[in-house]
Amino acid sequence: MKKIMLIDDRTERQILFSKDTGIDLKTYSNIFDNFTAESYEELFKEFKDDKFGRLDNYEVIITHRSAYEEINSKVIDKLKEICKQQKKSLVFFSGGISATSLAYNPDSLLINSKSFYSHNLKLFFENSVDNRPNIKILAFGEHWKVNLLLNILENINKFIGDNKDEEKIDYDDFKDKTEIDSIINILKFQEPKTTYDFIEMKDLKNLVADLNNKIKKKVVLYV
Amino acid sequence: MFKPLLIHKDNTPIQNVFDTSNSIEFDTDSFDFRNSDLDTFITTGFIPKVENKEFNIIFIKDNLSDNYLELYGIILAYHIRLSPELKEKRYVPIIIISDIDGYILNKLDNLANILFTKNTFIGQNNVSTYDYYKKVFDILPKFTDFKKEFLDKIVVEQPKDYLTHHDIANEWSIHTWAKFLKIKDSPVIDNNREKISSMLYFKYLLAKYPVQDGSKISFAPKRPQSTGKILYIDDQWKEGWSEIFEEYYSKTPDIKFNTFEYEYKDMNVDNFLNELRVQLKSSMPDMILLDLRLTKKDHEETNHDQLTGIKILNIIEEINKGIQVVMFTATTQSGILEKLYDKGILGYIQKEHPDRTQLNMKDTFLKFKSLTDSAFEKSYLKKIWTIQEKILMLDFFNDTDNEKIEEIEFEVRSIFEVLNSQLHNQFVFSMLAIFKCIEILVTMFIEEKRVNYSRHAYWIKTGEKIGNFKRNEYYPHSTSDEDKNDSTINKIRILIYEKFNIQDEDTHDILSAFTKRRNSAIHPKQHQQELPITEEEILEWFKVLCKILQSYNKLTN
Repeated sequence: MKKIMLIDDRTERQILFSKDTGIDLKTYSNIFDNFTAESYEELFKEFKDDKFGRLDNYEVIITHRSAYEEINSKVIDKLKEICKQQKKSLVFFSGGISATSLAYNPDSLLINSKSFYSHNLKLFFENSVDNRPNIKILAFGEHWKVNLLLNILENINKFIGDNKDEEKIDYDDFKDKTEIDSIINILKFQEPKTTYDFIEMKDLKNLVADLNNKIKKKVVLYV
Repeated sequence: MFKPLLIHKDNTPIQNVFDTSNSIEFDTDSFDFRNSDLDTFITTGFIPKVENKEFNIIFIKDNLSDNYLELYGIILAYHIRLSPELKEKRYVPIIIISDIDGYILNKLDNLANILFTKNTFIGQNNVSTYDYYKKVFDILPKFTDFKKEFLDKIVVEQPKDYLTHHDIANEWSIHTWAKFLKIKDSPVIDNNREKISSMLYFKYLLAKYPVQDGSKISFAPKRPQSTGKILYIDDQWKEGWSEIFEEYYSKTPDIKFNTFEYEYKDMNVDNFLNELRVQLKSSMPDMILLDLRLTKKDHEETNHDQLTGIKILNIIEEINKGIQVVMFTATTQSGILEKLYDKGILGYIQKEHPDRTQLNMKDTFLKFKSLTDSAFEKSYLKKIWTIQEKILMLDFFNDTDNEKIEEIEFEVRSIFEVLNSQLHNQFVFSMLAIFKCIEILVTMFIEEKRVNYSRHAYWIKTGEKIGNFKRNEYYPHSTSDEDKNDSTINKIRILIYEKFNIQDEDTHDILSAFTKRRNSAIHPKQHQQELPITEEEILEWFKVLCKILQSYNKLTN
């Protein structure tokens, strides 16, 4: 079963993309089905007949946001509904979108079509070969991990600010509020042995310094 | 007095020193994926909230979403600076609250270069940032020249797509043209304005390149001599262009503006061209306002001959080359423009384009006026072309061995070309060409001989002396040697009277006047100013030539 479904009514866009970047989408045909030209027409006809069964086969649905002419709103609503029910990731791309918007649960991404048809798409496909498709890669490319680190850094700074007068910090509370679990293995930080343990404010400040350093390295040195 | 406003997403400890009266949470729950985007959300859903607050400094968290790298706070800072509805509030100091430094922010996103503009600062995501800026508030630098200190220092990039540059250029063009013409009460144009006025990119363009006020400029075309018919052909006609041109041309009486209202979406080019051909033949406009690229495919086409606009030019040429064409296009490619001029267009108007902000609306409209005036001045060329085609259809032109016929054909063809050119004295040259045709015809029937020191004209075929017109009375048989029958006008009149059976007085009068005008042009009298030749005269003479050649044609059949 293929993981990704890509629907684009503008066939020439992909041709130009391949011409500009040298990326041949056919290379990834083992993980995605490309609905353009005739296959798009065929699929669109099914959507017109209210048949959306083909979506069942995929984990990620990627579609041009205005691909469905006079029934556009209806199809987009249906795609949202199905993806929410079946916990699929849904990606809309469009030339009129100026800023990337990534939302979680259900995962959805709104992205400019030039940003979509970019090197990030190649990274996304390459990563999807052996892993579950990760739409954060579509959104942020190779910086998708930096995004995660920054989110957590922000959470920690907020936590520190909110608890600046506390000498001892309840680690469990800290973990809940900062979601540090997702990156703990890359940090120079020794978790308390039990969740009831406390940590000190200076530990958090060291943690922030370490995290800042890691972000800097990733952004500036790409390591 | 320090009156701060905080914009956050419950993600900064600084919010602990603010209350709800002077802070706004950036809540994107109402964000609609289907037909909206961040710019629209900010413009319609958030800027009004900012407008309602009283403040003289703003603290904005750089991240206002679930993903730090989306950096909505930075985007919002741009919106605040570029939203005119905020009036003076848009110039207040902005403090970007960040968990990283300005260097890293700039590495991550070009938009962070807002930090290099006057009056925008960065501070760490903790309360000390608030304390610091509170302390230094009174000495923070203020804008003295917003353009130099802000607009010239930032760049907001155009939303990108492989295929929709054309749409963006179009929306921008419609906006600037409609604003220049002060068009109101048009739902299409209002919709376009709404669509673009929320986009950060357009806010930037509008701030940097304000649209001129066209109300004080006289750019309406001149009133045409008779009704001036214009046909507009553009796949974007529905987007607001029809309204714009209707408004523009409504300023001049007697201009009849029509749009070729075709449904371009999913069109079959051959069917489209056939329908257009029928419409052109029936309406015969004086001027066509033509877009170059009318199909999706046109935007990727590298062979210029395959562009729909070029195919339409071929059809116009086939129907009547006298129809004047003004191209209305976003193209700047010199190769295409040269091709269009080779195809005989009168000129072109460039659509406003965000990348060509040096285009001046005033100049554009003055050019539009000048091209429209010129098209109507040249509208008589349609008739010239029709006459030329009528003449060239005559059978005797098939006699390719006859040098004189070839000469006539050459002269006939030159008339339209000369009139359609920028040549000085084009009417004189055309008059001479028409006259030359008649003279050639005369030499095919009449020859001159010298007898007793004077010249006389004889029929070539019979050797008889030709007759004489004296004060409009015709004497078919000259008998006396004193009868001077070799004047040009006499030879012409005798020829058409005798051989072509054209005997009506009107034609003879026209030919007499024509000959006089021609003689005055080639032998101007000193101190006598001749009246300039008019297009009406040229048309009249060309019609007479047509009549003469049609009669000659009958004779040869």
